Amino acid sequence: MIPWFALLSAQAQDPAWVDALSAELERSTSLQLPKAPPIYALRYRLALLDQREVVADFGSLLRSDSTPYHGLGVELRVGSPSFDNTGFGGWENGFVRGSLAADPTPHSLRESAWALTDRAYKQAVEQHARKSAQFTPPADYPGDWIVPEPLQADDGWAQIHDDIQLREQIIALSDVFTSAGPELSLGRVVLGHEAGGVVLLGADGTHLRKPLEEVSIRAMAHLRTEDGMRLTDSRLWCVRQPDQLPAPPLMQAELEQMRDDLLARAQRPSLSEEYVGPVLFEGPAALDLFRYLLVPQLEGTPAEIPYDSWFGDLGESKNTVRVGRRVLPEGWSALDDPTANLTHPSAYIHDWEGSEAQRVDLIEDGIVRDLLTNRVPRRGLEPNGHARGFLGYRSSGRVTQLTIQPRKTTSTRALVKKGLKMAASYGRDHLIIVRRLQEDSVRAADSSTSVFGLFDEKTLRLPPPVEIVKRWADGREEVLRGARFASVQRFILRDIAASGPLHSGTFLAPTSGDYTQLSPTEGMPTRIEAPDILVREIELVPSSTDPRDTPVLAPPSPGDSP
Amino acid sequence: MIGILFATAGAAPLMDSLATQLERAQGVFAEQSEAPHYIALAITEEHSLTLSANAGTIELRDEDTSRWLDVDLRVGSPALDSTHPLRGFSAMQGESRQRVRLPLDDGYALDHALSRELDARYREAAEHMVVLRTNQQVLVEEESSADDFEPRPPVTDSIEIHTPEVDIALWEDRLRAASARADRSPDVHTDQVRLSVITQRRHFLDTEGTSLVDGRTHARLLLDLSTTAEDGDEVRVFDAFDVHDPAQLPTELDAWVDAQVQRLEALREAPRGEPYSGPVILQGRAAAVFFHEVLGHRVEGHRQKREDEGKTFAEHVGEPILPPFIKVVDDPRVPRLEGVDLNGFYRYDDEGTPAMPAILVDDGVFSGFLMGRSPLPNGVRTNGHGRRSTGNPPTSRMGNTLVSASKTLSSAALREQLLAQVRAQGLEYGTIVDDIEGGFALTGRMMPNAFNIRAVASWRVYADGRPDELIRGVDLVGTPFAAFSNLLAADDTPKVFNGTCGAESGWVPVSAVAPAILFERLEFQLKEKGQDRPPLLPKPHSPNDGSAEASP
Repeated sequence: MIPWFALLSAQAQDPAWVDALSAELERSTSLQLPKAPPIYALRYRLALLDQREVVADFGSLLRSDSTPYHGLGVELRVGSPSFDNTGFGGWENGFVRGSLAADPTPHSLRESAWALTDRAYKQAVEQHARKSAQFTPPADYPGDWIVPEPLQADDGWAQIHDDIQLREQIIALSDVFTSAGPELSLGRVVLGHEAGGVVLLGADGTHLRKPLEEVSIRAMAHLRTEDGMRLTDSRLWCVRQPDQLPAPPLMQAELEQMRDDLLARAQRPSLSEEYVGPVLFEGPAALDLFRYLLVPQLEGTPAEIPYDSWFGDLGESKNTVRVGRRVLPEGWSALDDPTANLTHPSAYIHDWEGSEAQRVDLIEDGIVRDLLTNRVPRRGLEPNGHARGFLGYRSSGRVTQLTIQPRKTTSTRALVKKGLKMAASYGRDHLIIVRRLQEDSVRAADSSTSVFGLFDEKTLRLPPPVEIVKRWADGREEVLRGARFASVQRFILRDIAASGPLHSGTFLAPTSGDYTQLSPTEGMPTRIEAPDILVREIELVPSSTDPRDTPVLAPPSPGDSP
Repeated sequence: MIGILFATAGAAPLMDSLATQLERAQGVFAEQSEAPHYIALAITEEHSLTLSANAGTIELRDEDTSRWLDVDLRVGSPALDSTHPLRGFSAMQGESRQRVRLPLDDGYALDHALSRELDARYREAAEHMVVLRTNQQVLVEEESSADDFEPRPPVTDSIEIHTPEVDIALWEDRLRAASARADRSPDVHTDQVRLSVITQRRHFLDTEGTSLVDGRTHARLLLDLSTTAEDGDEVRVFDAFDVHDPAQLPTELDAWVDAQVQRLEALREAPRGEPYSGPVILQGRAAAVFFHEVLGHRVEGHRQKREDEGKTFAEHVGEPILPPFIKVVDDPRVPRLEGVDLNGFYRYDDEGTPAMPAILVDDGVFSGFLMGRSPLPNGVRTNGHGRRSTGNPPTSRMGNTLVSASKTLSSAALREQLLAQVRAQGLEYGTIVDDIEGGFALTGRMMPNAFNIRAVASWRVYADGRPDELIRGVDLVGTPFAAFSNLLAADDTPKVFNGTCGAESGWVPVSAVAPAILFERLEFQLKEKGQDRPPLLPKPHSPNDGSAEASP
């Protein structure tokens, strides 16, 4: 294998590349079709990432790929900041991207920039016309773009580390599932490792270099019970550099526990009847509840105006985010600070648009007081350095490192006690505790699965629980399987009855679309810190089994293979 | 250099795994109410190397080793089994089969994956069989009464597949230089030069006792140039060398590149053609692709059994469909013809059947079909044309479609005959189709049974002696019987088309060889056209263009 990543890392510093792109940037500002609105902002983003993907099943390598990603994004705005080609539905909008050569040269970069800018300009002019034809801005329209001051900054660059050991570790970790033998239908570990950075160049003289680095390892197992129900579980380790990973024996032990729990769960009874009542969300399940129900209410970039095209509206027709809305109980607060933990892969100094990262106090006393924004104007709010995105997309204000702080916390014991008391008012002698939810991208890893991740304002979908137990007052616990949430609404977070110990975790947020479209190690690392929570009322219903999916030919036993 | 080709040292451990899992599955499935009557397992080990240059630098460098699994499992009996198509509303029930990537090591993970796919294919086949029986009862009797499967004596063979050596650094230099040379032209907007080398080793085992190890190596050097004409037309020119051994590829590329750049520049300036009906010569790759699309796809055996297929020639066996001087044979066994390696060469098809020649047209008389193991009535049996790309069930497909003429003219004489036809029909010009980018054929009943030959470059040949005029933007269209009945003559210079053909069973490598042919009358229609203006700014100057002007 040719170690071209070593070569590339050196070249990433090559000023000739920047000179070539700067020259094309300058030349492109002269693009002007007759009677077309003028270009007022033009930016290039050069992404140079060394990438590794390793996939191993049951102790064997399935795939190993180390093709670098070199891409160029062009962001071109015509008109004026008060009304331009952006923020309107459709995909031919002036934001384009293209792949670059494996071995870029100044000339090849310039040629790519020339072709992409030409496309972006034509798209922008047409999109401006479409938007002008269909949308008359109201008097209080905040405009489309807050023009930044030119920026020159160097936040650094990341280099990939030799990952031969990491590859072997992935194979070894996947071997944990081998001993489960024929019980598991999938036993897989996936490594996604990328390092490099992005250079942002603007026609206004902006020149920002920022690093990107992430190591994500997702381990997942699928199991089919005798009644045809599929159970899944997974673990994610997401760090900036390989040396931040836990020691291999610790990772292995965690997977062994996951494997054993999954096998044990297959023998447990299914939820037999609907449950309405209090539910205690512990650990990762609590973090996921905030991830799915709270995070979307904090990301404040205005939705695109729908484009009434011949095949229906393009663009979001809803704008679900509000300042002043109660989203958590009294006394609760939340903040997001991309610099809170600089060793986390989500951390940055300048955001995707070049704005300086800021701490934002989002929720005070349970009410949304501020939102995460980028440079797309929103009435009453200023850009606060939370733009995240990828080449070819309009970026938006996104959660990065979210801390949710309750008014007070209590011990797990007290939390359970309170939950049992609340359950009694529903006529129940037990409390339901959820400890982990299924991961959509993990469920989708099995090609036979059909999962839909459609969200709307009224009915949010929560993935089904993986770990769910009945808990009685005498401390007995009965592990269950086969439950899913019904009719989950964002309002349930207002009804948090109590909170317990704080935990933190990382999830991979989709750049666009939803979680079911992601591969197991794809997405933007996002950190959440939040407490265990007791929710006053949630509905759980039995999930159906499908005997049709029960294997006729069980997998072989490990001992029968060489 | 390509290093170790495959993770396995040899075929034996892999074949052992296949045999073990096949035996285990047979035992389990035999106890079910719907038992398989046939199972085949195939693992294709693949090593691919792709090097590609554009704008004078390497744009892609990719090397991959992979293993792919195919399980062909039939429930029922050879007379009626689970591969039998459903009709009516039931036909909406599709097969969920996909490409199955296997671990690179032998061992538990491999056995687990084999078992999982065997189970998935069995359950789907068993379900299909239940629906099929009712489907047969409820609906009218089918037009074809042939069995679904042809049992066959087992075949055993093991063929060594050699690993080619490729000097990556040397080839990267060549590709860079070729791309930079094309990039000098301001009119060439993309100038991709690509080398791909793929080696496949297939391990095949079935319940009849067939045990095969075979495979192929294919290398392609491709030049793909594009530009945008002033009228918005996306103009593209490509040319390729296909060989069985990368050592046979050309190494001096300058003249080749220059010729293709000239073709692109000429096409960019050429006028668009117009809808037209008149005498036409198809030459070079165009004639070969014509036979591939118009005849080849229509004589694929499985199409003669489906109720939704047009069955153009199904009832014409023994009848003349072409002039008596034309013969068409599909013979996958031919590795090389007319000095060119044939892409459709193989020894065994994807059902484990030895490749055989299929005589399609003899002295103009339609003689038979391309057959896999899905037989036709009257004892029409496999001739080793069951093919697929991994992830698909095999169907009957072309390999090397060889067209020959027992009565030929020189190229000049053929041109004279074209002009004679133009004059006889009172037309201003005739047309020579010089190059094509591919084509397609519609063979079903819901759409016109038409073909489309995607012409890249055609020439108007004027009756009044004006110089020939290059045109672009038109495709050749028609229907098979009408087109064949207009075939007048052939020249004495067969040309080879090497390509890849896509159909229900995936993309398979194919070749077609044919002389130039003259038609009394064929029809052209306008090709779709791009609407984007050419780039508003000129292409940045190439550092290799020899110009003293600096980039702005």
